[in-house]
Amino acid sequence: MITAAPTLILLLLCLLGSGLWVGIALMATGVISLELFRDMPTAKLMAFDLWTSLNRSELMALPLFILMGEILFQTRLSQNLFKGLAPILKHLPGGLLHTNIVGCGLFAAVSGSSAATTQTIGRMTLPELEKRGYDTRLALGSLCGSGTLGFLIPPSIILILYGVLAEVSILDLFIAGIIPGMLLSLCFMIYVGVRSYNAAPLPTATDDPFHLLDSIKALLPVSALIILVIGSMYSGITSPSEAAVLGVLGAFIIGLFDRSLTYKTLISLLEQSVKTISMIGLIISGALFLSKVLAYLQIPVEMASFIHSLGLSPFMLIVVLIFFYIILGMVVDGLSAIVMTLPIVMPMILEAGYSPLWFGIFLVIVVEMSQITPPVGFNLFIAHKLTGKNIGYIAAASMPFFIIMVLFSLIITLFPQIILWLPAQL
Amino acid sequence: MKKRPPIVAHIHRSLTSFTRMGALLASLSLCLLFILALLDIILRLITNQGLDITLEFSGYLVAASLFLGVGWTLLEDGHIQVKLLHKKIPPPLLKALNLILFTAGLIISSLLAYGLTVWTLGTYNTQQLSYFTSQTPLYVPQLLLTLGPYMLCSAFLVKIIESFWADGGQSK
Repeated sequence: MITAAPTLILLLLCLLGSGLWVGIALMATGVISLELFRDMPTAKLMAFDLWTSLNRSELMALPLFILMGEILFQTRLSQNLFKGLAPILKHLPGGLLHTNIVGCGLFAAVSGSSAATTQTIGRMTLPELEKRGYDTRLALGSLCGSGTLGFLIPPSIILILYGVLAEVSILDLFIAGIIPGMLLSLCFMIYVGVRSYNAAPLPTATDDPFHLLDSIKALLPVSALIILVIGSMYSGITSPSEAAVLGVLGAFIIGLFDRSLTYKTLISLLEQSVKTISMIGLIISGALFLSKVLAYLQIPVEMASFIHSLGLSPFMLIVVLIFFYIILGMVVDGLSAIVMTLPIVMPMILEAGYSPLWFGIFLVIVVEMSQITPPVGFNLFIAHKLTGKNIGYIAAASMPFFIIMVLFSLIITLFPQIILWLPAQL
Repeated sequence: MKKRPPIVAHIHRSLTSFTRMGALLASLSLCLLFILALLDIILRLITNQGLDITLEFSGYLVAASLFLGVGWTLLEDGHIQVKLLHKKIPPPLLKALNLILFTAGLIISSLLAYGLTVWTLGTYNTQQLSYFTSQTPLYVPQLLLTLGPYMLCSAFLVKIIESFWADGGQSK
């Protein structure tokens, strides 16, 4: 049994490194480990596990929030966001660069995906910022950094997955994500403000003929949707799954009103939704199967006692985990990083005395960084697709925002109440 | 351009259509999931009582929407893989690597398909019913889920055919 843990980890790394699809690599690791260390009917076990993992009504929010995000992606919501936010934010130091951050924050409140947030906001803001002569580096960095808020600000697909895997209330996770999400956005805004404070004023930045009434009108659909989705959940009227249903309905109504939903766009958004949902479905299936295999092989217990024997203080454990996830995030996307490591990491965290609710938010912030670290950083890819700029250039532009996230994750470790206060009040 | 033998071309077309059907079923499940949950909310608002079947059927529909499109998603290059090695190796080696990866994928998905088939047959033979009020025969939703790994197997076979006949098949 002593060789089970290192063999399994090495096997997983080799399979992932070879380029095997993440979900298949997780399943293959489980199958090979069972064959090596246990005499069990693997195929039957996989089948049973797939059925019990996917046939869960609590997972309902996941496909529906993805569908909602896809509908919103087809609408003119991003144009309206920019039109509405620009007159309010242009007076701040950094001017319209803040539309990236606030726009991403607001879009994150109606979408559960970081990639969707970055793409939807970026395709509107980047050309506008470039047209007005803003610093491209700062524009790209703030977009990629703020795009990661899609993971943290509820409704978040990654938080739903964490809730299901770690058996933590999804609603509690959604509530816990609000204050850190707002604080992180504020940190980004402060950085942009400080960086732009002494910059020469841009003549074109303040000349836009915007009016406050237009601004309110433009922000009305997104505000209504946020109230519908998040408001209904927090007031206890709906569960996260029901809020997702209302969200899809609301997004559909917005799409019908701004005439962006046609038969063609409906087919396209359904196809895109199925692609994202299936991608996540395969990873969940693999991760849940592997976590069962780990339990059969008693690896979580082994890992917990190993960490215990190292004598790390709880804070040092968190520092080690931050490094670990940063390295892992360079080659694996955030969602995969969470699902594949959670069965091993969770027992260590519980052993160290951290709350699973706190850890969920911490983990999401840490894996958010993986979205902007090369070579595999989804937000970098999206920014590259939007602008054609070199990935290295975009990664360098995102570096200050990456550092802010590292510092922020240390701050929430030192002050866990930032996360735990709001759920305790509601 | 090397041409596939007619029989292989036919198999390729059939398998591709089969995986596309999976995507269609997954889309349909997603739409049904939304309609079912919306109906439940509306009914609860009006009559103070939701549908009895929502909890049970939403589980089946979630499973179907999560897994029936996996094969089509593979064909659309939608699954996540770490492609660091792909960028480093020369084209002939890359082709060999891809073939190995497709075969590994086929083995794992076949194992899953076999396991689910045996599982569903077992449920059918014992006529197991769901513990909800509807008492649905469990083999029905299980059969639907069983299609997922078969779609994935088909997609891997399509990929194997495409890589094998890309430049090594029957010439024109």
